[in-house]
Amino acid sequence: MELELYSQYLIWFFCIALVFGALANKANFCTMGAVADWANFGDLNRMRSWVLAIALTVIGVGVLEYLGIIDMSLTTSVDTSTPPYRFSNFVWLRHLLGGTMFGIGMSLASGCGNKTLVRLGEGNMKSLVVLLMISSSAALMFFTSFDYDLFLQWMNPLSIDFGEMGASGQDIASVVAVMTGLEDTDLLRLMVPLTVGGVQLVWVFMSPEFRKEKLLIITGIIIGGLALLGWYLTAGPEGQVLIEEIDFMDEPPYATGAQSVTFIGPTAHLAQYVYRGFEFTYLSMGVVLLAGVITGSFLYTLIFRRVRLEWFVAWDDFFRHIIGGILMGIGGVLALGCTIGQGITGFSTMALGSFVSIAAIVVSSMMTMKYQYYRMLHDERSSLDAFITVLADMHFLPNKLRRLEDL
Amino acid sequence: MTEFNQKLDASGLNCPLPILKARKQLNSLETGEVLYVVATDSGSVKDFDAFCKQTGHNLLDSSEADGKYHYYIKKA
Repeated sequence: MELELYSQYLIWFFCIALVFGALANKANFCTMGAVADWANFGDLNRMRSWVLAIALTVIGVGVLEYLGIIDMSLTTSVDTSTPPYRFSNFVWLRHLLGGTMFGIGMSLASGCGNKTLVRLGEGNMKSLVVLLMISSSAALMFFTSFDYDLFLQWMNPLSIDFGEMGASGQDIASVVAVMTGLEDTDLLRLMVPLTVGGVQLVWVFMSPEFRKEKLLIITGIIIGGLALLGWYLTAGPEGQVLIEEIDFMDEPPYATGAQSVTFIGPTAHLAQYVYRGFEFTYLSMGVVLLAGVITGSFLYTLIFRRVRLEWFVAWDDFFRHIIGGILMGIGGVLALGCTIGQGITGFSTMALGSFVSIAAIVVSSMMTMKYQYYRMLHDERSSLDAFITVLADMHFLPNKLRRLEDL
Repeated sequence: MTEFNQKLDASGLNCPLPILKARKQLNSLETGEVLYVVATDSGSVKDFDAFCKQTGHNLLDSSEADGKYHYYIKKA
């Protein structure tokens, strides 16, 4: 009986991912592409589609939480969520560095975790190599002391523990409540997402050009809806029953609890699932998500396009993807998520860590693309010249210090 | 077949490299000259369409043949 309920969840997550993968393929939905369009030629349409998905998830989670339909307090503990976005100890450095590593990685590896799966479904074998790199480096972070030895042992002492201040989590409402002495946290948990999501929606639809992009609008709405559905399923009434049931199981399934669409943690689950000889216990909802996106993208390609096998064209292309995959695996686990996991799912919890992670991902990705461009444009000049010019482009340095011109 | 002044082979490269390389090569063209780009990334169809719309370059032709994507871009 217990396993039947869990199996239903696996099927639900597979279906969510199937639609996600097919739609991302059809609409060329790509978070790295959104940053690339912005950085390379000032086009914000794909960025608006992504922000639309974020805004709808933010508002949806806020309303469902206020109405008591979903219990987002589950996301304050590692025992009841995967991952605990609202954990009260705010290790801001992990989000900053992890997000930065992920942003650089996805720019080098032709896309984020989700795009890697979508490309794999199209027959791109380069993405298989990237997935192996993400999966093995994420597993290294998850299942060894690598994350603590290399990062957390010096990051943890610099963290801010909102729990010690009396806050129940690191979400904005809890932090504001404890800082200001406001007692009605429930109302704050509604007002904050309504404000943030509302501002995002205004920004998205203030562009007349974007309002004509029907496919991108529909894509943003559906992807936001899928992320919200994930939260409803796992943090809603049935999800809470599942969490209680799992408590009493002799062999509970792995990585359960409140969660929604995310891709980097599940790659580590995938490594473990394979390592354990495909035992059902280790078939997490995350692993099913990965399989669903690949299948959705594959089916779309099979029906509407043509499967084309792709491989690396040169050694530098190969090494760029290897490094990108490793950076995404390590950075994604450190930041507790990717451009979807933190960018949509995590952001909708209004956790401070999600804000830091996504800002770091976008900024570092944009800087990486600009760096690549300046190196390509002025290949006779040094890497330092290109890097300083990028910093000037991003307004981190005065423009008079720029060393290269954009022709 | 559309005439062109320079050719860029971006086969096997994925986003954002075909666009970055096209941007670089367009810099060396005069206004009105045409860059012919060959790519294999399926995402490049929408990428080059958006790139040309945003930068003002004229996408003379965009097609798929022999498993590759072909773009003719007239520099603005």
